[in-house]
Amino acid sequence: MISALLIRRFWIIKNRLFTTLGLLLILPIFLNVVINLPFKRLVVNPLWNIPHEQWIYPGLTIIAVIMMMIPSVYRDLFDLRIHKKLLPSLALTPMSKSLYLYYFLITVLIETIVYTALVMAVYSVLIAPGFSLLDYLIMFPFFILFIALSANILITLSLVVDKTTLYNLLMLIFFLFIVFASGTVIEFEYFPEIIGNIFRYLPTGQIMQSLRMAMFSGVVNWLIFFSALVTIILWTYLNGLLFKKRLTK
Amino acid sequence: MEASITFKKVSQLIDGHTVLAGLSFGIERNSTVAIIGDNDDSGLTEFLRIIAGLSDPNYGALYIHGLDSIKRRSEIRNLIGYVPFENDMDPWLTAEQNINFINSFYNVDNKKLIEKYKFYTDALELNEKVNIEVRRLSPGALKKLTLLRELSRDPKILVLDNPTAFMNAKDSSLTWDLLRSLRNELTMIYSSSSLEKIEKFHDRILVFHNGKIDLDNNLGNMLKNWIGHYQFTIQFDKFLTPLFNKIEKINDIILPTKKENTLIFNANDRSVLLRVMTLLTGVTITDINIKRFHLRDLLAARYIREGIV
Repeated sequence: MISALLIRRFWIIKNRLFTTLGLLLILPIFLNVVINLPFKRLVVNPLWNIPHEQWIYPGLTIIAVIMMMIPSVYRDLFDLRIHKKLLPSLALTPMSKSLYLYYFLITVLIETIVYTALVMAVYSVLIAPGFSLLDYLIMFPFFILFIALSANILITLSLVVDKTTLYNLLMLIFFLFIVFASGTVIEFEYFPEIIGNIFRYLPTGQIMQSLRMAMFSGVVNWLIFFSALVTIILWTYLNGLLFKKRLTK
Repeated sequence: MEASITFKKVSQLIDGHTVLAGLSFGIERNSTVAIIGDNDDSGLTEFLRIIAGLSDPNYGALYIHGLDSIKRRSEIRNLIGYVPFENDMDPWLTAEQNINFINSFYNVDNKKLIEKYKFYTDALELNEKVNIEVRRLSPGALKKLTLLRELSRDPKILVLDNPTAFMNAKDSSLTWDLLRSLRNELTMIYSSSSLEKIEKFHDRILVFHNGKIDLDNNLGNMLKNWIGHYQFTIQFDKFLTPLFNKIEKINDIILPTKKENTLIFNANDRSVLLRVMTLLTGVTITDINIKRFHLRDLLAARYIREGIV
């Protein structure tokens, strides 16, 4: 059944090929211009003496990939749901609704992994962080964790909210959170202590810190890695139940 | 005949309002059932949604081909096709992509699926539409495409909420012709705003009123039991009460009425008129009118004050 969802994603991309490719190319460049370039001049003394290019590379990649992922989740779980398209006929199929959501998440992750690889390639040219192949290999599992977590947040919002205006507002807050409060481009040390600690101990902050720790000190914190993984699995399970409930409503 | 669908004391509430109240009846396999209801048709749509599996009844049980609709849900889903009132296809995919995607979740033999898909695409003249993105298609074309999606799986039960809504005259006629050709091959339950179409296409009509089935029969029997098949209006130069009293006593006359110099009565057979005529020697008749009753007349006679027609 997952093949049906993958084929559908392929059809959607194929039907809007130029828009998708254009976005995939323009978005990383745009984010580089509006986030990386000013931050490079703003942060005069980088923390822990890590070169700015290397420090910002994973965060900027994650922001670009999450922005690419938002339309997929929005379209399939919010827009189609509130306009009563596709999902009612899907609800009538013999397939389990929870299983559909799990497959949907896997499909989104597969699509996003492709985007991640492309965005990483674009930033390797634009930012030139000078990473080795091992660095890229270390980054990838953390990227998947962060994206899976973000996808679950987006799925929950898409299933819970019924009003477009509220949904858009929450998307904006989510985006600001990812950019400024999850450690993607701003280190937690720059925040007031209490706020910085709150952000640091959120799953998003934990994954970003573990990613940088693994990259720059070679130490992988498996406890955080598996805690994040368990959080994602549980959240996915709950989203499956929520999806089932929303479809039978 | 074997039951295709069995309702056992099914009740449904929407926002605290009872839209279906204790329905208990069965629908025979391969029969065609039309449903009609109050102006506020939430009960009808809900009735179709319950059969299709989009809603579970609040009370009571529903059996599809003998299987409990809740406990054996996944088996039942393969038996039913549902054409909703409004199209529910993904606007960003083509019609064919939509159909292939949804049908891939059913346990249907792929070869048979392709065969049926091709057959119904031709039958509904949709060859030029299937490769167009859904958001660019008209609501009438989408209604036909939804029917194509459901029929291509070869369902045993087809539930249709206004099957020709939004269609132009040609498409509507094409669709009704196709549905007629499928009669006795599958169980069809449908609602329609066209009483003329219902009259021509049913084995049974269910008339819903206040959440209950008020009338349940084919049109012929309904007319026979309630108002008769014909209405006769005879206008006289002078029509006296003793003559009316004699006519009133003739067997098989239904609802005789005298309105000044006019006699109005109903009957199931036109021969009743000849029996009335034998009593009319010596009176001058100025006009005779015979009207054949239709579904609309039956509903008007029964519900005119209550908003069904």
